[in-house]
This record gives sequence, structure tokens and C-alpha cells, in this order.
Amino acid sequence: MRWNRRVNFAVACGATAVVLGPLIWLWQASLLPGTHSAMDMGYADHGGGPVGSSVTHGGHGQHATAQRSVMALIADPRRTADVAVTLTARKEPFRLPSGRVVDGYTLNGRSPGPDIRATAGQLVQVRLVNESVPEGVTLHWHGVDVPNAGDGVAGVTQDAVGVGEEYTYRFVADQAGTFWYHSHQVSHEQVRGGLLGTVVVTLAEQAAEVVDVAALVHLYDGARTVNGREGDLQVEVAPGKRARVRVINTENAPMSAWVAGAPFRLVAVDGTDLNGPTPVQDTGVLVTAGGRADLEVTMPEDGSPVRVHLGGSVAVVLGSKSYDAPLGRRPTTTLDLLSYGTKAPLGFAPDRPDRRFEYMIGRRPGFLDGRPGLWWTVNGHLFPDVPMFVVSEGDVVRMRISNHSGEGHPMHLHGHHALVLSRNGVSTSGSPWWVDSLDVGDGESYDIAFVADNPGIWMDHCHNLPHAAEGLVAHLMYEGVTTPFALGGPAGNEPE
Amino acid sequence: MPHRPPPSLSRYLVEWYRPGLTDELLRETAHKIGCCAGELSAEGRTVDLLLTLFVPEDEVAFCLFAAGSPASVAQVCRQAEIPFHRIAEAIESAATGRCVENGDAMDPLDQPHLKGENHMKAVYKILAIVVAAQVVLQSMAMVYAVAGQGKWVLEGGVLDAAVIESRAFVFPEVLGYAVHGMVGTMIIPLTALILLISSFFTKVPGAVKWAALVLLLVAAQVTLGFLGHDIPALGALHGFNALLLFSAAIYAARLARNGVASQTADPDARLAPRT
Repeated sequence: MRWNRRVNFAVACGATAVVLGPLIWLWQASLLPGTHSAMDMGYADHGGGPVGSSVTHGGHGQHATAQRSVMALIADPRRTADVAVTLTARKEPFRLPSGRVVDGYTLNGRSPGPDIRATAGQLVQVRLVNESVPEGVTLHWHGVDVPNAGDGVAGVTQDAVGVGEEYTYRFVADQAGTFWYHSHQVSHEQVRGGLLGTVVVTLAEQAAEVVDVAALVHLYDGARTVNGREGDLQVEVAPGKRARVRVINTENAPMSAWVAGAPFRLVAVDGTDLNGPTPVQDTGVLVTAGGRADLEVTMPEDGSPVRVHLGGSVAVVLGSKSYDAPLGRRPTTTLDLLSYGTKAPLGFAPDRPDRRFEYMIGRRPGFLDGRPGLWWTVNGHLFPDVPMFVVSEGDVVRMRISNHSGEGHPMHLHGHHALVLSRNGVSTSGSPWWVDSLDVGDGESYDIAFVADNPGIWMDHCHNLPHAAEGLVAHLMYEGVTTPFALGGPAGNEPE
Repeated sequence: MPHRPPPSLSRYLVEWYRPGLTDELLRETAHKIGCCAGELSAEGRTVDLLLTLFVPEDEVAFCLFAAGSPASVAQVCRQAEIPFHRIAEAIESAATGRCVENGDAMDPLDQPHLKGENHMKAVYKILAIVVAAQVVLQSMAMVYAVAGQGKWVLEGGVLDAAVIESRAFVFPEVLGYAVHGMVGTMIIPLTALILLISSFFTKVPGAVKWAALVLLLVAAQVTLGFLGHDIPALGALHGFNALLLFSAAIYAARLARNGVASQTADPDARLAPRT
């Protein structure tokens, strides 16, 4: 009967609706508006602290206390710059010293961009000019706890600097250490393509006899380079003298560094000196993606060269008469910073936190702005429905970062350094271990603590930059701080 | 034939081997089948015997039924003790052989609903074949990539997490990984989903079941693929499951062959006929 056939057809249509309906609903619900504010992202998480009357989350809060825009969070405008640099960004092919031509981005005609060096306490002023990067650029000072207006996150602390425009970053480099800078606009492409460089802040009274070597490790088209060179970087260091090799991992994955030919000390991590570092040998150091590790080597008296391996394919070779340093096999043991060095006063009380946050990383299938896939989750939620960690200035904040996503993640908190308290429940027993980039392996959990002493709206994201583009991004927001900038919009802000 | 059964019923051809069948025996058999069909129809499961044929040269007998499902036909045959070799869905044409100029006598195949059904059947079949072909592509892409990687490393390339995460084409065969990732996480799941939807509109017995199985195996395959990053043994199961998925897709495609749905009740019947 015709009727029968119609019923069959209706049943088939119904079954199709049952299968497709939820998918279409999920797809539609995941679409992001063309412009949206980081302040409206996800849901507020107060971490057990007071829910202030000034909360602006969602833009509906009562404005009981004074609001501050991120634009007002700047370095002292009356101070003149001690270090002034202009960096001009271009999208253009460039040639590495090895002859390899890379179709990427340059700063002042080169990549990596010029080193920026300052002594602690100096005011650094960098004028960024975009000559020809169509999607816009910014500069983020990775590891430097700059005032929020200088953090360089497109759509959060500024608009992406369009072609023909400029933006000036000003900050006091008050902490001596190893840092780096990179674009935070479409960062997963622009950092890869070369918009990055070294920042070194030294103490004014730094021991002159220590040879200072910055070693920025970056892959161009899959080829590992140190300061833009493929192969060995040779540095002259006299026998018996010390060298400090500042290893900067600009990559998306952790890198092992090890030393062949002499013992070494790991003297600093993420721009913060370790306390009482002891010499080690046949041991590797895991340098987190985005993180830094300063290795100090005392040269052998006999004048033999020392090779500092940076991953498997490039090295810094320290020598005087000869640079023919033998290759060292990658050590099977990795230095555990949980127990390296000796204890020291912390300067704050992480045991009595004002706020406690969970940052659980997972992975599940779903839609991210309409794209189906297996995406990262924060506390079970897909981007942008992620927590907004709300703090007040002066709070002691504890955060547990745990990872059950099947892959490791280098977690980077902007604007702050956090103290590692424990890993998988095992407390630290060595030097205070301060990080801005922390490698959280699959199945690991870390307890960290920091003082909320730098007001603003700060990204807290995975520094495997494609992962950030895949939604592994949350923010730390201070009560009473607002931003006039928005993601998307006419400036095309796309920080990840 | 005394009457025409409703056109919504499908036609089924039953075939069995019967040496030494005489006219009289054929009449008796037809009568018996007719009675059994009548009994089942009385229960509400319509089965009409339309035609009984015997081909003496081949010693093979045929019955044409109109019925709601091949299972009903099989039940009638069993009740009538017919040692049938197979039951196959058939298509009937009303064409009489007379030349009709005004086009009154329409070929049932030209009826829109039947045409649509056949189109859906073809879509189902093609999608199932596409799934199987994609599984083949996936295994080829993976071995291509692994072989290229081995060659690159032996020639001095250094592979570590940073190189992998850089997603750079350090050797050309990285293409294999890229293809594997994209086809495996996006294109095959999408194809399997469309296969399931097409199965709802295909009146091929078992089509929905097999499409659902294909989709289930695809989901398992994606899951095993990702879990394999963490637990390599599950990666080995990913390889095994690929063969299951391939087989299921091929089976689904064969379900929707033209003429379709055969139900082999007793494959030995032809060689050892019951008396």
C-alpha cells in the first residue's frame, strides 16, 4: 500500500533526525560570534574566594569598586627608557646562515629578531612597527611579568597591530634571567614562522668572568636551529672559566638538553635562579616548551671542548683551542627539579591560600567553532566554555593542574611566576622551583601557588601553540579589571 | 493468478533442486505451498504464491512469492518441506510484450518510489565501498609515512617531540601522517554517518544493522587510534580493527547488490536433496 510506503519513509526521516539532530544542535551551539570579549568567556570560578561586588564577568556586574581598564595598567609613563628598540615586522622569505630559505616572518629583516638585553631595573621600551604582516602582529614578553598593557595578547590586552600601525611596549625588567619574546597574534603560525627573539636581563653586578651565551632553539621548516643556525654554535671560553648557556625552548614540545665533556649546574629555570644547585653529570635537563633553563659549565683545565646538546641535532660547543667536542649520548636520567638544590625561604605562605583552582585538562569529541574533532577540555568543558579564574590583588592562589588528555601540555601562565609545590602528591624538597611554563605530562598533576600581584587579564594556556588554537586556553582575571578589546572584531584578533 | 497482491509487497524468487519432478508432483507441491502460504497470511504475515515453475533440463524448481519479508517466505517453504537453495528478492515488470503506444502500461521500474529505492540502494552500496576504500587508503598512507620516516632517520634526520609537534614536512612522506589523521578523524566518520542515514531509506534487509556496525567500528577505530598514542598495544588493535571495518563495509556493500537479499537456508540442499 502507498500508505505503508509513506510510513516507512516517515520512519526513515525520523531516524535521520534522531541521528543528525543532536549533531546539528551541538555544531550550531559551538559557533563563536564574530566578536566576543575574553571577559565573557566561559564561567567565573572564584576558587572559594569572595565573590566581589565588582565582578564584571559577563558584563552584568555591579560596579561598586573602581574599574580599571587593562590600558591603564602600564609602567611609569614619566620614566624615560633605558633600553629603546624599534622592531619592524615583515612577512617575507629570509635566508638562514645555512642557506635554507624560509618563507616566514622577520623582525628588522631577520629571524630570530634582535636580542634584547637589559640590566635588572632598567625600563625597556620596544616600538613594534608592522610593515607587512597582513593578519597583524603583537609581541608577548614570555616570562617577563610586565604590566598587563604590555602583555601583547591580541584581543585581550591590545588590538593586533595592523599593517602600517605601531604599538609601544614599556616595562621595567626587574628580574634578572632568561626570557624571550614572540608574537601573540595567530601565534601558532607567527611564532613558527619566525616572529620571536631572545630577552636577557642580567644583574648590574654580574660576575664578568662568566661567559654569557643565549641559545634560542627554534625549528624552521622542521630544521632545528640555535640562534638561527643549523648545527653547532661555537663559543670561546678559556680553560677553567665558567659559561652560562641560556637555553630557550621556543618549540611546541619539551626538549632535552645535556652536556658532554664536563659536569654542569642548572642555575636557573624560567628566569629564576635556583638555590644551591649542585654539579651533575650524565643527566639531562628537560626544557619545557616555552621554558628556559640556564646551564652553567666550568671549562676543563686541560682546554678540551664541551658540547651542550640541545635536542638531538644542534649544540653549543664551548672551547678555546679546539671545538672538536665528541658527541654525548643522551643520558637516560633526567634531572628532577622536585629534589634539585636546597630549600630557601619562599616569601609567601602557599599553605594558606585565598583561592584554590582546578585546571583539569582532558580531551573529548565535539565541535570547536563548528569544526568537528577531538578537542582539549578544561575541567570537562570545551572552549570557549572554560573557567575564568577570578582573583583579587594580593591573593595567595593555589592551582592544581592535572592532565588526563593522552598528551603532555606545557602550561604557561602570563604575567606571573608560580611556585611548584608538588607533583602527583609528592612535595618539593629541593630549591624553590618557580615556573612560568610547566610541562604537565599525561597522567601527571601539579600543585602550584602564586601571589596575585600583577593586576590584569592574563592568559593561562598551553604553549604547544597549535593546542592553544585547538582551545586549550583559559584566563586569570583580577576583580575590577576590564578590557575594551575583543577577540575577532575589525582588528581580526586571534591570539592563539 | 487469481489476484494481484498489493504492490507494496516485495517479490521473492525461491529456487530448489528437485530431480524427477513430474507435472502431478509439481501441482501437489504448488498446492502444499499455497496452503502453507494461506495459513501464514491468515496470521497477518501476507505471503502470496504467484507462480510455480519447473525447468526439467536443470531439474530445478522455482516459486515466485509476493511477501512482506524473506523470512515469511522461508517459513512457508520450511512448512511445505521445500529444500530450497536460496531466496532472492526479485523485481517484477508489468510489461506484457505488447507494443503500447499511449504509454498506459508503465514499467514498475519507472514508478518514482521504486526508482528512488533503487537509487538509495546504489547510494548505500557506493558509500559502503567508499568506506572500505578509505580503510585501504589509511593503511597505505600509514605504511608510506612510516617507511619515509625510517628512510629519513637512516639518512641522518633527527626525530623528536619538537619535530613531530612542529608539524613540518621534514620528509615528504609526512603527507601520509597528515592524510591518515584527516581521513581517519573526519572523512571516514562522516562517510559512515551518511551510510547509516542512507540505510534508513534503503529497503535492503540488514542494511541498517550493517551500517550501524560500520559506524560503531569507525568509532572504535578512532578511539583506539588516539589511545594508541598512550598505550601502543591499543595501536595494534587499531590495525586489527581496520580489517574488521573493511570486512564489515564490504559485507554491507554486498548486501545491496542488485536483486539483493539472498537467504541461503541450506547450502547443501542442491547436492543432497530431501525426498
